[in-house]
Amino acid sequence: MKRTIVATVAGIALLFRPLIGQIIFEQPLSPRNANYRMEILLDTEKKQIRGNEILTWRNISTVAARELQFHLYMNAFKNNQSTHISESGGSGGKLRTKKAWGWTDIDAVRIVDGPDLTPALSFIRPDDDNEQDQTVVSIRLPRAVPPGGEISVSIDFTTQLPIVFRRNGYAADNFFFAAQWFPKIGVLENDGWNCHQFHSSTEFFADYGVYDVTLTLPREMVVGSTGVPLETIEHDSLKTLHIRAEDVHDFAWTAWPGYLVAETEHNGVTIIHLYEKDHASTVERTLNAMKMTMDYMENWVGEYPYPRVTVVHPPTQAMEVGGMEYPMFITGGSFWHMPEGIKAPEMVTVHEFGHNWFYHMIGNNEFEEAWLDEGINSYAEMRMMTEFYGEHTSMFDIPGFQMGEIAMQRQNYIKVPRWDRTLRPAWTYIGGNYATFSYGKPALMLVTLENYLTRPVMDRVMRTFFQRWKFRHPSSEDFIAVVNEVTGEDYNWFFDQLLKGSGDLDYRVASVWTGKGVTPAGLFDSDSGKVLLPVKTSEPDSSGAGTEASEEAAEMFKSTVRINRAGEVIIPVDVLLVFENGDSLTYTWDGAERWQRYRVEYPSKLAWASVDPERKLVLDKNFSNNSMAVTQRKAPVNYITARFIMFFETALQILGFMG
Amino acid sequence: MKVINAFRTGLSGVLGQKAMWFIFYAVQFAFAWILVQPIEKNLTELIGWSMAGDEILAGNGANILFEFMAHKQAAIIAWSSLFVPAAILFILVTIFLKAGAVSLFVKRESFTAAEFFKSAGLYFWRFFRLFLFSLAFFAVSILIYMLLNSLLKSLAGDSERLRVMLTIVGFAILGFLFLLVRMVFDYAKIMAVASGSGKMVRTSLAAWRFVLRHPGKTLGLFYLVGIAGLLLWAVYYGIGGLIPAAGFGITIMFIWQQLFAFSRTGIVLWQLASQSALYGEMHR
Ligand SMILES: [Zn+2]
Repeated sequence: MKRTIVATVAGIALLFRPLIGQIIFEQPLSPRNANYRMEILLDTEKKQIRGNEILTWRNISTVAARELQFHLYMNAFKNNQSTHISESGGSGGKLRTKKAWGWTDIDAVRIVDGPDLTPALSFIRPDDDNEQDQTVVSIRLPRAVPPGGEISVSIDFTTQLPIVFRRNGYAADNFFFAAQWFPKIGVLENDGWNCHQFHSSTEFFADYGVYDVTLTLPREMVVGSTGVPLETIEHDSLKTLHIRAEDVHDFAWTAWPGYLVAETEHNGVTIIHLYEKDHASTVERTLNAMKMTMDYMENWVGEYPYPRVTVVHPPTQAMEVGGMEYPMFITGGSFWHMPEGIKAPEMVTVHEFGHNWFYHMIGNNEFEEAWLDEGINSYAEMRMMTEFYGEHTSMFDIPGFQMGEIAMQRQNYIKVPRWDRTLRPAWTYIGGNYATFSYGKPALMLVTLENYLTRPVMDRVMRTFFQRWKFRHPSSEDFIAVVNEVTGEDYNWFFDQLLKGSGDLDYRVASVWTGKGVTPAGLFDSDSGKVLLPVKTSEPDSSGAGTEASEEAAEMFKSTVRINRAGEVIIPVDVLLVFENGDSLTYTWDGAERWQRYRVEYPSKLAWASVDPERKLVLDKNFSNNSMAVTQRKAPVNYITARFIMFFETALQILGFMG
Repeated sequence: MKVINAFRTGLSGVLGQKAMWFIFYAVQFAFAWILVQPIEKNLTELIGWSMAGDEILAGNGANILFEFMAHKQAAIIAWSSLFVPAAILFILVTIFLKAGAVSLFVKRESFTAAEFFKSAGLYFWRFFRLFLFSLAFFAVSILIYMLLNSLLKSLAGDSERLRVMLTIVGFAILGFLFLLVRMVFDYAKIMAVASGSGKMVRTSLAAWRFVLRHPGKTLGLFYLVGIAGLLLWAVYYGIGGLIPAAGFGITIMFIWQQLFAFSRTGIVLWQLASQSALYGEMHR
């Protein structure tokens, strides 16, 4: 193949370069124990990536490695019997209709300067017994790699890209996106290999290292990727790019001749935006969101140390690759003339770039504890969107409708608060619960924790967690330990309920009453003997509106408020009583019992009462019942009712058009 | 000139039949009012005593919307099962009322309840058959739209901009076809009353012939009244936006909405009246 020859020539030219040495960073930021040198060719005719990777892997665990385990993620798209596709309940969708399946083959593997290991390859299924799943491969080693030992293996591989599917593949007009495209080593932990199959609702887990990649493809291609391009050599109709990334745990790239490029500089970081021409109207919005995210995250938890980040808006034919995070490389999405008031392009940019702190620099196991990046990052997103675009306007700000992040994140959760718990392996959720319990619920949990601890304390927690665990693989227990350490208190009661438990949270005002109370009646002893007092006003009624106060100007009024814990979760909560004269009284209730009653005597009648008046407990599944007024408040109901009448009149008028 | 005359005659025709106009409006309002009752009841349960309702008036009611959907799910499902029967019933009632209205306009009689309902009953079945035929034409419009749309889509290729623009063009064409069918069948109704014929297939074909023979006049009149409707709509939104969503403003808003709804039903009658007048003038 002519192209292969050209690629080889180009490869030789770039061959003598350091792999683990420092080109970008003076000091390594990470353990750098999984390092790849790749020489690859994009075959645009066959939609294949072919080439070689030399993996240099160091055993940083405490156990010897008798085998190496690799992810072959692309094999999830090889047929509809793979674990990934059968879990998603599909028959293969357009992979099937277009006969455009994807796979990765290891053509040959050997130890560098050593024996051929190809016969030692075998597919394994650590998570299920699906014989058809080929997303994990084991390579038995002739000699174990001891702790601290190192091994280099050379792998020839071919990856067939599927038609764009689950954020991978090719599309019309020579569009390519390569996300999980190469044989990628799992993580050896002290209790063995952690190398899960590719499930329909799992993301990834990998060690850090250096990726030194030479990529050969047609000259007209505009390329975006993880890392920093160091050099481009053009030859005939092809070009070879030399790209290098240090201290990353993945490498993704895209190539398409149609990309336009916008470039800017912020805090010493080059921000590259690849977009299609019809998305020109959101270029500024995207770049601004990138800059604001960088400022916020750097100020909040820690620096973005890399010199470059690339944000891609895929073209219409490849929308599905949008909205994904990779090290130094993210994908968003937009539409032609997206209205300013719809903040979707900003939201996805803030979210995916935020992942470069929580998923990339904090390299948690996304298979087993997805909330640690998706939940924490959704919390970060909520804070940023609220700060950048307003509490009630950060998602939608269009005439007649506003919506903020917190309302949006609550939307799914409040429908199913007791359906599952957050802490469970990502592939063991049922249906849509993965998204609700790995993103929304933990994000709301962290806002709740922030409101409970106060923001300065929470900020110390987050910074400590990030700084301590960056470029490592923390677990949920490590996060909880940081919370306990920073606060100096044991917060397991909080995480036991909200992270590990499935109970719901619902405080409500059960009843309010105010009035003069019971006028003394009956026989009372006095100096002159027994006195009979008359009955004047009505009995108090604790069921709701007690409006029958006396006509005389009484000095003191009695008020009774009953608060009810309708959910399982117990967490201290504020209670507010507001009086007609504008005064208020505040209490704190520990929530331990099912109900709590407040009886006060006050020189004004009670107007309304509220539990959690500041909405600190954003996990509360029902805010509407958090307050109750003494008199009915019909105005909002009337307002909505009037609008609905108008809505139906319009619908009927349109319908009447048919008659 | 005939178009302008018909336009004027139609307007005075409607203004002279306020009782009939009110019937059209009242029926529409009654349907809407009944449909809204479950919302009113469930919303009162959710926020009738809560301070949270203030968020709706402040313009950020998203949270309450989601809580309503989450906590009143069963009620919403039960409520939505009313829609189809209500829609069918409303179409039948509209056909009945239009039968009365067209009869008055064509025969140039003034409104009496007895006369109105007698004609409504008299022509109902004929109009109902016309309605069934018109469904076929609406279906054909959709078919034409779908064919055209796939053609336009292939023209647009992967260009997002072109796709969006051609989608708008597609909808505009669909809208035009729908309005055309509506207008032709308005004339069919008028001709059914004018001729007194019970042969509705023949009447529909005659209506198509009439429209195709006088496209300028019929379409001109139709869109002239349509423009009046658009102006009305602009005034409604222009002023409606200024009403505050609080206290007495809610009552004002409700009155303003109902004034608009009332005027809107007048536009439909105006169209029927002016078309009757135009047809009358052309056949004098
Ligand atoms: Zn995410």
